[in-house]
Amino acid sequence: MLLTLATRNIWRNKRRTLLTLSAMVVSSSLLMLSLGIFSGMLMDILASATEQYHGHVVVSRSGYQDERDMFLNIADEPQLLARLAASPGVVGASPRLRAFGLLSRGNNTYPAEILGIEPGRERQVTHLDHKLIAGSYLPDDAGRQVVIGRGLAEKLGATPGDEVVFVTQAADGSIGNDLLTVSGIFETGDAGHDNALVMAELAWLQEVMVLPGRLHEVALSVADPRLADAAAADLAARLPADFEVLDWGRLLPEMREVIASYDVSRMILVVILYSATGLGILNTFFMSVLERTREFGILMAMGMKPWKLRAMVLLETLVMGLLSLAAGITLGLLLTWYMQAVGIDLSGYLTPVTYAGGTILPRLSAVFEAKNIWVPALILLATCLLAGYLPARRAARLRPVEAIREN
Amino acid sequence: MNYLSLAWKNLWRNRRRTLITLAAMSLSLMLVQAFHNLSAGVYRQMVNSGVRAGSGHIAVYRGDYVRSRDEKLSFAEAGLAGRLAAIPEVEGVLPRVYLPGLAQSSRESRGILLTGVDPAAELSVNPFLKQLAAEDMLPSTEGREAILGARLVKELKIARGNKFVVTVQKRGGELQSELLRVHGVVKTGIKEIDGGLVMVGRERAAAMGGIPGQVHEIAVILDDPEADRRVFPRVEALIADQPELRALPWEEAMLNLANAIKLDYASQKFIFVIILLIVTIGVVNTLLMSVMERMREFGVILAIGASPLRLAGMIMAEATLLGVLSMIFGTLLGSLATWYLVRYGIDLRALISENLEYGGVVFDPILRAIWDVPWMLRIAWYVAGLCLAASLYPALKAARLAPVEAMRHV
Repeated sequence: MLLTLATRNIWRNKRRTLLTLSAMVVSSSLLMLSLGIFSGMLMDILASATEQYHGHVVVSRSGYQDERDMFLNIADEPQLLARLAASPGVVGASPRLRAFGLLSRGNNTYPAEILGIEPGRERQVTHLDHKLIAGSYLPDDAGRQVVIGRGLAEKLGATPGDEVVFVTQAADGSIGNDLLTVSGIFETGDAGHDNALVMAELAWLQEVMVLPGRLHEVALSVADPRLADAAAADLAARLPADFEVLDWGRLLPEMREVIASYDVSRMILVVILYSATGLGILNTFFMSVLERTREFGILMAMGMKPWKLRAMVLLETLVMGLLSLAAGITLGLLLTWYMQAVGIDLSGYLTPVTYAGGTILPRLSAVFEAKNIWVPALILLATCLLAGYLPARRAARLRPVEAIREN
Repeated sequence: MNYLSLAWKNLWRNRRRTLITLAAMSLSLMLVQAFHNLSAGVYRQMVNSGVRAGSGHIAVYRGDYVRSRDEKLSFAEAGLAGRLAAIPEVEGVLPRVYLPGLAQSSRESRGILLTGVDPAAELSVNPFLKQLAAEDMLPSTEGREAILGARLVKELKIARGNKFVVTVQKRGGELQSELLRVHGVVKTGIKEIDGGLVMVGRERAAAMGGIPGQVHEIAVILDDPEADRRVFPRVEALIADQPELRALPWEEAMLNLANAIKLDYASQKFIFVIILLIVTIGVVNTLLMSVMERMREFGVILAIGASPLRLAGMIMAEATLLGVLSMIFGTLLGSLATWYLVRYGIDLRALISENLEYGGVVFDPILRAIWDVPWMLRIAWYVAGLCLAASLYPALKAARLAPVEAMRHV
């Protein structure tokens, strides 16, 4: 009975109801869009840092990431890789050996970091293969082929097909050197990598460095980079004590600082968004109930009990709230999807930004995240219920004569 | 008819609604102003640190060195640094040599950037060296002493006082190796610096590179960042006789930092637009509610001879008052919030785990705001303008009322 009365009341004054609903729909959808954009920005930052070079989690010998000591290495065992790749949440694993030396061509010589990889596995963790600007990525049996950064290529005057010489200090104290062929050139926008990074075949590098069957690290990719620290802790518990498992937060402390300051910014903006939206909705629902005080007075004069009046108003508010949230969520999802698929391109005005180890493309986009939908929905629903309840309670406390006389 | 006094009375006929709307508008304005000022403060701090360690507010390069970092693009210093330092409002001038090289100890080798500097000038300006004691700074521009990044020292497995070899390529193409001694160690919190910095006297670096007397960069640091518009033409005048040299403002010399700020600001502006949209919807809603509940009253007013234009004007006057009130209150609150953020700031250390060490040099863990009063006033007027714009639709609806139907409205 109350439900019937409530729904009938909603449509008795169509104009007021539609006005109330439309305010809530637009406000809630814009709120959800904003939260989606925040998530999008965060994911952009994270992706650029971890997916161009570092990976989300890195497994290595204790102290290696701190000291980069070539003697702190681990065995290149198929079962180790299989165990790591099969861990929950891990979507890719790439074994690596790292060396530092000089790369020469003709009269030009530059310092370089050479990363020995297995191309097929490395693709699971990083996306350097998508960053090629010339030539091609390493084939699975690369041999003496390498992929080098654009800055390094320019300084050496090297193009795909050219030969370069690599010289280094091997693990047995000898001078390791070899003749390499440039297979491709990549550009990430990160000068540190573009000017010094070389990707080579793991087996070849192990031979040159006299470190057969050894690795310096296994880089892992996880399904959700924000849960990388949990994945790292889980792995650390299941590996021998002299292994070290670091998530991106500990690999890239600067990135964590950036994200912390970003979180402060976001917190402030979210407070603004919620307060503006909440107050708007509070006003709307509050006034739509308050202006019916006279009507409530008449109902009470005819015998309706105060608690029934409050219940009726709550039901009305609940129904309107659910209707408007359904529409608001739909619109919010559409807007978020549009920003995700299309976004706003700022490249006419910005070039890619290298920031704390990552490179961020100049584009505003959004990411869908369930929490960005249901949290604001619940908060706004609670707000409108509160807004409907307060004036109804006040009206219910009035004596019928006073209520009818009002307005 | 006095629009304003009538509008004022009408606003307060429903005190509660007006107060809630004022609260929404004022609170949003306050937070937007405070947030903008905080961002501006953070950007300024980023720029100040960045330009001192990097290109300076104005940089002098040869050709497109700023992009290519080709060490062949060096140029003779020939007293230019001294002439630049004599320009008023210049705080410091830092001539630098940059050579990529390989650092080797008996156990390890690493790619490094050999940086040649003028020790006295660099120490007083460069934030990377803030924690370096004066006695640990390089004693001369020619000696074999070097300052290394902390991580590099660790990776090479050497310590202060130890010797190591640096190999760079000379101008003619052959390799040049020199034995250097670790004289000082710096820790900046930036991996690339801590892991790749070898800082020596400028003449030592230039000699190793086969380019005695030459530099790659002259960074000009200003007393006041706003002075660049006055100083820039004078810098250009001093290098006019050497066509290959270029003076660049920091926005071009440190494109990465400039773009990071622009990207952040673009996303911030987008969110501000959304916030203002939400506030506008709230205002439209308030005014529409106000109009709708007074239909009967408007009908009576129209019936006794008021023109639709007058009615619309009355509603817009109400909106104007609402806008001005929220503008005033919002800006007062925004000023209070900014005052707090300027004086106390926001300490990030409360939000991050304790074990995270800070460079303490480059990245100040306390975010502080600055006063951007022109912007605050501009956004305040925008909000007032939005309020007025929001009133157009309700005013239009009111103006179109038919008196008889309106009076019949309950």
